[in-house]
Amino acid sequence: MLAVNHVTKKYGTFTALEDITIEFTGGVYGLLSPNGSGKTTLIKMLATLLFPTSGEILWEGMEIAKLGERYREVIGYLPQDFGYYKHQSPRQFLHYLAALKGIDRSTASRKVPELLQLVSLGDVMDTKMRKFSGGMIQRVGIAQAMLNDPKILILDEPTAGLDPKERVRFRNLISELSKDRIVILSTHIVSDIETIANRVIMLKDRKLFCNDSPANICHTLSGKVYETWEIESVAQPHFPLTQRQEDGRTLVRFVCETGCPEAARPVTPNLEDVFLYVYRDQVM
Amino acid sequence: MNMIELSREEKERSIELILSHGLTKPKSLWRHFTDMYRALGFRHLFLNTAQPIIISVALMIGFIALFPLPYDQYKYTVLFASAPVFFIFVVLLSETVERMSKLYELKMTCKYTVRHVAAFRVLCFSLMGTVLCTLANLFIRFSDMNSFFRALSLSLCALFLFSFLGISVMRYFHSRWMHWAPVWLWMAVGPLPIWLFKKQWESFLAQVPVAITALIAAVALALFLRELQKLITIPQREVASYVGG
Repeated sequence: MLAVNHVTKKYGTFTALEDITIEFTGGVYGLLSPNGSGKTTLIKMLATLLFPTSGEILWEGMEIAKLGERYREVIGYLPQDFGYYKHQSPRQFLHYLAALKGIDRSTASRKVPELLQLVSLGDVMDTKMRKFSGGMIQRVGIAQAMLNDPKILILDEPTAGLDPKERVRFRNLISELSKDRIVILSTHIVSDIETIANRVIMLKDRKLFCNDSPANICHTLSGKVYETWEIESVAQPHFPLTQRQEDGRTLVRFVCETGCPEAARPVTPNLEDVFLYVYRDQVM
Repeated sequence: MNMIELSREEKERSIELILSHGLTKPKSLWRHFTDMYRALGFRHLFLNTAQPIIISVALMIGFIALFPLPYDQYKYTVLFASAPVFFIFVVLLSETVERMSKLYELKMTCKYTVRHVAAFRVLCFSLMGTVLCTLANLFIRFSDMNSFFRALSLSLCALFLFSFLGISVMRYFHSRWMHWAPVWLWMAVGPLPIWLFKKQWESFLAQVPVAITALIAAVALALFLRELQKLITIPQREVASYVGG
């Protein structure tokens, strides 16, 4: 189990995270919050790139900073801005990182092609990466993170910059890889985790806002989300969430805390509704 | 309650067994480096270091060639000041290449981090520096062996002193730009006495007994190796980088 106990992180006088307590046991954890809310700071602390100002992070009861390389051997990390050597092929690049991860050559020779097949790069494993699209590079990133068969897979904004098709492919891949391990996936894109996350962690005002299943989180807005074609006729105080065009008319989805307005029908809330409502002061 | 009474011998054996399982002997520097060499190999350990090495060799040669004082009169001064040039610049440049790489963070989460690889490289660079110093001494052509050994011990003294001081400063102070420290240090201590004392500095270096410079070089080398051991074994410190999110 990976446990974050009362962790606070400060940069000088600026507090990035305050008194965060989370337990990761197994499955996919979606770290969902707008940009600038401390997701990357938390992710970097889990990857031992940053250390808490106060509090502790424990893996199997031992502080990760003290575990050192024994902890680094159990993690796979895909940073937000994933770098690579353009002149190398995915096979060469993965062999290089396998060596840095202390994986012996014979294991790496078996594992590298296997992983590249898994991420659908089997037919280009000897092509220089300078010719690769963003989605292909991210898949190389996932393959390198899986090299040591990590017990904890940490992915920081893995779908940023991917087109919708690549994003779906990526989600399916994460879902496949999540068996028997902890996957921590940070994102500000709700659809990335709506279908694959077992639990969603939301941060707000530097603190932990919630850590629950997507269904339970959606339930917090149960009976408060409506849709209407005539938003101007809604007299009660309300917060508009989204709008879409249909047959030349605009269908508005909104939250109303004070009962069902006339000319509006209640709908089942989804994670995006909760996200937009919770971060209504921050989402532009 | 029935308790099994252990003999003294059994107790000692049990204690030994617990200690052998519970305590792992810290790895020596040599063991660290041989393990790392076996895991990474020469090619991966020195990936992207060709340019820093070529530039640093050129800087050392350039420094000697363009030295503004006549080096038939300032042999020891030239050798003392130029000895650490290759080392400090190759360390600076290779570290800069690593820090500017987008792979820096990812590498810091691996078993062998940038810091481990850097420690291995630093040792190799100091060996290369020793070879270059010897070549520089041979190039200057001393009339007798005594002068040659004096010059060589002075060169190695300067090389290992700067190696030790540079690595210590980088280890103790955790600033983002601390890998520049050896360069500033060399600029302050290397060429400065030349401008301040000129001929007296040359006379001083020419008169220091070889035994003293050799002893200083040996002590500095030992301290440098101890610093490398610490550099490998200290807990991972924070990556100096901008944190978004």
